[in-house]
Amino acid sequence: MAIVAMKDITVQYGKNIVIDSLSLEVEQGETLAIVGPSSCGKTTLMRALCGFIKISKGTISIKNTIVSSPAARVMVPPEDRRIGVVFQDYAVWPHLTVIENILYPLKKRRVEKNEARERAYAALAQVKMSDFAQRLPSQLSGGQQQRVALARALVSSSELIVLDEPITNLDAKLREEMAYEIRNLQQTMGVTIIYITHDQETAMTISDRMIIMDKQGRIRQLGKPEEIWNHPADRDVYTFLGVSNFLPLERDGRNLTLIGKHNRQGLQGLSVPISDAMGNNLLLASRPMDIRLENDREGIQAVVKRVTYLGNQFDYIVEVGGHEIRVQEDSLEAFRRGVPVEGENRSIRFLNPAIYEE
Amino acid sequence: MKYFLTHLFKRERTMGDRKFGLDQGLFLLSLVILVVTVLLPVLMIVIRTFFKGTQLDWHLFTQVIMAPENLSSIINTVRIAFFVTLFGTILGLFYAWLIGRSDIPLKGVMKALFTIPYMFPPFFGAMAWSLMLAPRSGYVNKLFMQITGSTSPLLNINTIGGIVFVETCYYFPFVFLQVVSALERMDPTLEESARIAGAGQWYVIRKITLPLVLPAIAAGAMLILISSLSHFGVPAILGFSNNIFTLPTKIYQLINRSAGSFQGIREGAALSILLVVVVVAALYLQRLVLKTGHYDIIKGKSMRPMLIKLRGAKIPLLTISLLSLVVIVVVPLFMILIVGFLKAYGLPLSLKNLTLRNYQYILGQSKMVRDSIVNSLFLSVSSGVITMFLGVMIAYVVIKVRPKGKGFLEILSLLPYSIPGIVLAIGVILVWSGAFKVNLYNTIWIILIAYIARYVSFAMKSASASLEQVHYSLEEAARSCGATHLQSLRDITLPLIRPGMIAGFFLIFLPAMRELTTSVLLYGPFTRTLGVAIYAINSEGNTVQASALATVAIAIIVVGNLALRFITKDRKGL
Repeated sequence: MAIVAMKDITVQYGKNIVIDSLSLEVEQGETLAIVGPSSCGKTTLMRALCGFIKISKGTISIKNTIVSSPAARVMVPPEDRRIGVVFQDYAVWPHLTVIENILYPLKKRRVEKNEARERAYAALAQVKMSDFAQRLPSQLSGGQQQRVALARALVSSSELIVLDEPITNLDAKLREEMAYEIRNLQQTMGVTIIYITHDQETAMTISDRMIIMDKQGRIRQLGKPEEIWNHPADRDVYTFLGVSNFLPLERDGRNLTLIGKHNRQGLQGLSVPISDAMGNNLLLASRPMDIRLENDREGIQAVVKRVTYLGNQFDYIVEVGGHEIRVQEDSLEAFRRGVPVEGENRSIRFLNPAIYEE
Repeated sequence: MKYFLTHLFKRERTMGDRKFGLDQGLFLLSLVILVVTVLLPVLMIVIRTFFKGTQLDWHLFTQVIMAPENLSSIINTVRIAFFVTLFGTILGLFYAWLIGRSDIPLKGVMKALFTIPYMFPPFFGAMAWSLMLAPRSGYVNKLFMQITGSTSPLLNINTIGGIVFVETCYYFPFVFLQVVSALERMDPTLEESARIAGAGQWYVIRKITLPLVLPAIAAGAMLILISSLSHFGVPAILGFSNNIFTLPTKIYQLINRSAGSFQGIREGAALSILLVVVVVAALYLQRLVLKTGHYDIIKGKSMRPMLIKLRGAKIPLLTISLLSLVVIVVVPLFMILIVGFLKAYGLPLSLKNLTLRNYQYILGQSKMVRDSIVNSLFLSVSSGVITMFLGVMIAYVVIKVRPKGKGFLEILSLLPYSIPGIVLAIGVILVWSGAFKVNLYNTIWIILIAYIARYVSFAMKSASASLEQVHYSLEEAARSCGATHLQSLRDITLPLIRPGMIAGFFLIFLPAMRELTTSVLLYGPFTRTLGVAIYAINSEGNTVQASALATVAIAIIVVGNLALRFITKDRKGL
């Protein structure tokens, strides 16, 4: 069952359309990551869902109840939507202690006093902040404030929590830890989480499904993280997910030719899925880790231009038909197979390439 | 108008879907209050000047402008303002450079002394200097004539020069404070790199430091200019006896002489327009100057600048600056204090001539004085509370609600900044003495309304500053936790801006406590304020009692300032 359903929603500020007729459903109990570059409208989407801004078209329903619908003149105020929100800047109230912050939603929902205390302390224990109950937020670090915000969202709603770029302000180690804990909470409590971020790596580690949005506020792809990683829907999604190499190709039936700046090389050994619907000018997309440098004289010819040692791996700039591409190789692997020197001729093999129309 | 209103509400609503929610209510309420208290008085002045009934009538305006006595008061106003600005800027710059860039000792003491002129109304200074340098009776002049046997006084304070001197003493901190803070925020490497490149000390000051702090100097100088143009107290106390009039004192004289007749008020209104034109011209000038000088090199964070070694000049400069500070700040205060204990004005300042009788009289016997203290306390507290809440409401609408028409609201709330107090008072008289079926003339309420209009800009600025610190997500977090809009304001926003509100209250309470310019036109037989009472007793020639009452006012102001400092320092005590 979908806990949140958005149908054809449009959000605009004056004449500026931020989200154009977007539809999506969030399943009960899942973690859905909404990923996109900054200013792609993902925060606007969250604010529309929470009732902080009005939508100009479409409907939003939570648990089969319409909460936003300009056509039906419905706009349920934020306080009646029962969504726990963790804001980008935490929004922990600085004039209240940690426990007062967490008790506030329970007080507003008229939970009986003893039960409220019990639930608040339980939530605090869940985010491992029990020792800090009487502190003021100014006495906490960013990561600790984050946990308080999370605990407050948890007591505010045990069904649906929205996190808006919650851990981007933390350092890498804390980020990893928090991502793991959010995942853990979701699995033990069964709460539905909508996770908004521009960081596709964290999104992949914690989400059941993810949505890739583009700068125009449209959904480009929706699916499980591994599906999206393995089969990006188009060139932009491919680029967004990580460092990418693109080489121009020309197609003649089933035969592919790599177009170099000075020469052309046939790509006989390459197995990629090509649909007949594609045009003749194509791009070969590959990730640096998915390219192998071989010692044989067959295959695609390339020159190693630069070799950089990064510790756990080697980073190469390789020239193929006049185009420079990036290749990465695991260090142990490189030492076993022989590290190339700069200027050396090698051939390259693509392990998991994708083909897109130019 | 209807079109305007319907368009006003076609904005993006951020919370709730009611056609007329809390936000719209606050907006409309702010708009109505500001239109009534601020805009209406200004409009009435224009209407009364240029219209006779419904007939357009330029005659009065040209007649008032062309009257030779009014012309001379215009010239006096501009002349005084020019020289006060010039000397105040030079003095302020000198001290700012000494404290901001040199290694002069006792900086803390000097900085503390500089804030004193800020606290007291300049007309106290005029009274004090009058005690010393009035041509016949001033203590210093008498001493001089005794010693030298001369029959002419050493200096005469009742001159244009005297007015310029006293105003300069009270207004130079505007430039000083602006420039010191700019110097403290300026990246010292800018100066150091010039020194390394081989430039001399004087060259660096001229070519690097001065151009960089120019915007701060201009801002401070314009504050002095505008304050001096619309200033009433000093020329009123020093100028009247010698027939020296400025625009504000001329307006006061016109209204006072006509004893509230309509023709007199109309003439006063016409002169007011002239005064506003002069002030607006000065503001426009400020805009121009500030636009050309914008430097990002001055950063927000404070840095430790390289201090210039004064070497041999250190002791002479320290002596000069301390001595001048004592003369400007300490001596006037001391004079008022000591004369307040004197049996009669003119007696030598010795122990056997001191008495507590003046205090007994003003605090015990004189009903007028007691009333004035009660009135001023009532007016300051009530205008402080009301205006502060009004300021919070307007700031909230402008910053958080952001309706269409917020610009108009903002302009209205900042308008009183550029309206001289005396002009505002005339506008308030025109609106509230029966023109709209309400007659509050001679009641305390008309003064309250004038104070609210006068101080709403302060309140709005101070509330804006603290509201901008409250990020919108704090309120939204409360909404998503189940709080209604009103509850989120009460539980989150208000507690967070409470320290700012208390500071804002004192920023209104303190100047209101010593207010003279507006109340001097609005007071009735039973509604004198503290400032008016001191001014009246002083003009009646009861100098010792006026000084005693001024001392009482000083005590109240000092206590208020200490309270303000205590509150703003201890920000944790939310």
